[in-house]
Amino acid sequence: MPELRSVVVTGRGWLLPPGMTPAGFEDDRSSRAAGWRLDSFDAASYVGDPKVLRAMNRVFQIAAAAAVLAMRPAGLVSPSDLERAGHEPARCGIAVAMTEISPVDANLIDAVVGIGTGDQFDLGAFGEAARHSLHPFRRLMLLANMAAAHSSLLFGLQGPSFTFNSGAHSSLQAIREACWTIASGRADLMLCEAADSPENALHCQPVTEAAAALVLEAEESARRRGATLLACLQPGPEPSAPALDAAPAQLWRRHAPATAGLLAVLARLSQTGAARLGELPGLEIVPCRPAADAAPLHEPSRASGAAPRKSAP
Amino acid sequence: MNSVWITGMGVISPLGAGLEAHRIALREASCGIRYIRQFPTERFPVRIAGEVCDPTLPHAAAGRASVLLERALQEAFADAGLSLSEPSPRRALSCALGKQTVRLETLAAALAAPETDLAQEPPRWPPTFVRDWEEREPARQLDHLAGYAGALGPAYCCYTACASGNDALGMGKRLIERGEADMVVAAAADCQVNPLSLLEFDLLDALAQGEPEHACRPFDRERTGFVVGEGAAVLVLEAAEHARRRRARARGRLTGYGSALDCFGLTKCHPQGRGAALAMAAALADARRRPEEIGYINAHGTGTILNDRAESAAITRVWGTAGSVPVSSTKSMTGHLIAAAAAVEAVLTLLALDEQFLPATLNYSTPDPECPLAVVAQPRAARFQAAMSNGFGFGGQNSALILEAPE
Repeated sequence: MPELRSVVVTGRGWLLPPGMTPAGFEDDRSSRAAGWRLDSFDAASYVGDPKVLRAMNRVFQIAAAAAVLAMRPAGLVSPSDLERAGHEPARCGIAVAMTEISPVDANLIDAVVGIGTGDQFDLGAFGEAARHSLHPFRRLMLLANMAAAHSSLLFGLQGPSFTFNSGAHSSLQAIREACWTIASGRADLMLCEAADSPENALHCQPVTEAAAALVLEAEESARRRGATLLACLQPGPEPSAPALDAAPAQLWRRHAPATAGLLAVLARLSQTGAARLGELPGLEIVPCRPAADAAPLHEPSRASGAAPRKSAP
Repeated sequence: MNSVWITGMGVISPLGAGLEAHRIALREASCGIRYIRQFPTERFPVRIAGEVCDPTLPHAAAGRASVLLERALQEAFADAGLSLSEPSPRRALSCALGKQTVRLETLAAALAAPETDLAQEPPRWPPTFVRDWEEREPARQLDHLAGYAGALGPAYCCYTACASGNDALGMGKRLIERGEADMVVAAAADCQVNPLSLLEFDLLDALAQGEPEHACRPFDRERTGFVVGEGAAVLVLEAAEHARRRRARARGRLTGYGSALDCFGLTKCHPQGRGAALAMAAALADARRRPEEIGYINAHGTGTILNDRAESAAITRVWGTAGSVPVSSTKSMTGHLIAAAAAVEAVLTLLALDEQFLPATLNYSTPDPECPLAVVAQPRAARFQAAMSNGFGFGGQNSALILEAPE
């Protein structure tokens, strides 16, 4: 039976509106009292290159900022850090959760208004004017996978890359897939990130700006480089959609759907001292054991549907 | 680890509707790229595309992709001997759904509507305008499709630009290998042949120029870019044991999947195809195959100068020598179906495996010394058991599949 590797969390970061914390996400009163926007967010304090910032819309900026916050405690803020830590860039990947980004932005509105609204609109005239009125890179600002591209460039990640836009299930799917990718030996490090911003939506979903990120690593390589281990993650079988809908992050699903699952994990990580940090659908979070106890996992049994457990030391 | 069979396929593309139409089109090396019929293009910089020619189809911003998906799904289920009316908790869904667009005339009307107030935070729009958008969001489409396909298990929606179709198939493979599903409906659809999307692609200076049938020329020295296409494909992935139990026929096997990032730029791919080579090597390792065991590559082959050059470098790097494996780009026939491209190309690759012939690369007449590949210019018979299908996307996203003939 192939052995699965143990996966640990070595970095975490988030940006939430004033008054909100990941642990408060299940508390309806807390969320109502909190603001909805990251008012004091300054993208330049996370991403130094103005040229890079200009190619990012708001949701990519806050996603990148959360990733920077997570990679800092992991000691991996630049491509050279990754290699210094003994990581091979091709074995370091990224898993992202994003909601659909609306094409109806200020640039498109201005371009349409420039031709005429209502019955005045002339499609042919728009076609002629588009080269001058639309932003040349607007297509790239609308693609959900560009968050992965930006983080890849920021941190030097060349490994597997997944972006999920499955609505409120996205970030738990991203974390689980990242866990499995490491556990099965296809990568040694996976950056998980998610973000929501009403600025890039057409309607009232999401209603809150939020961004979160986790750094997951193979336990053996994290221990080897002396990283701080925040918790162990054990991926279980992917839950069905109804099971996910009944999951605890319900409240945040309404507020920030793409980020909800990551915030749920972050909330459990903040529960220090618990013997068992908690289960989320398809994911178990447990404290890391002393190095001497670390042992490989075994492949889960399909018949039992059980999550992979560590074998007896 | 469970091995993954493909037991049903459905496809609709500029080459026609259904497997038989595609089998004939591949044999005859037909071209599905034509002058656009969906809207007047006289004053547009883009006039050609790979369109699905059916005047009954709705606009891209009014559910065109959903209609195509349902048609492909019906064919795939019939091909797999499955009933849409029998839902299963062991059936999962893994989708690649194209980028949502907006109808410009509708936006212009919404901007003139009295309910619209852009000064509000968040801005106010007419309820019907917002509702139309919400109904087509990927998460809603995923729910709808899961219900339609009777997939009560996990439901994924992958978006990795032009690599999406491969990643949806790869996720489906992983779900079956891990024992989380007996069957995964892997579905992809994209309809970017609409005014706004075409203009956005044109701004990136990536589109081909010229007469429809000759515009897309992957790996040819005179290539100028890609041609946008539209379509959908559904592949029923099934655990081999489950398929054997219900006596299903295997169309082929999905044995390898690999994904990697270029980490080079947002629009330009790595000049040596670094991420593409990593993805191909990962797919080969996943399938436990050596490069020389692969008899054909259905290349990403968009027809852009840089992409074809980078893919050529990547193939040469993985194979060790230039021109040792036959390569073709079926995008020369279909156009580039963006998020649906890789899934449609997986179907075309499986048809080629079944028929034991190599599809053509249309318009390949002047080899480019910077693309030193064994490009297949005309369809021809060949004996091969395993093939690779590549899908690469903006942002340096790369993925590759290994598809094999039934055991």
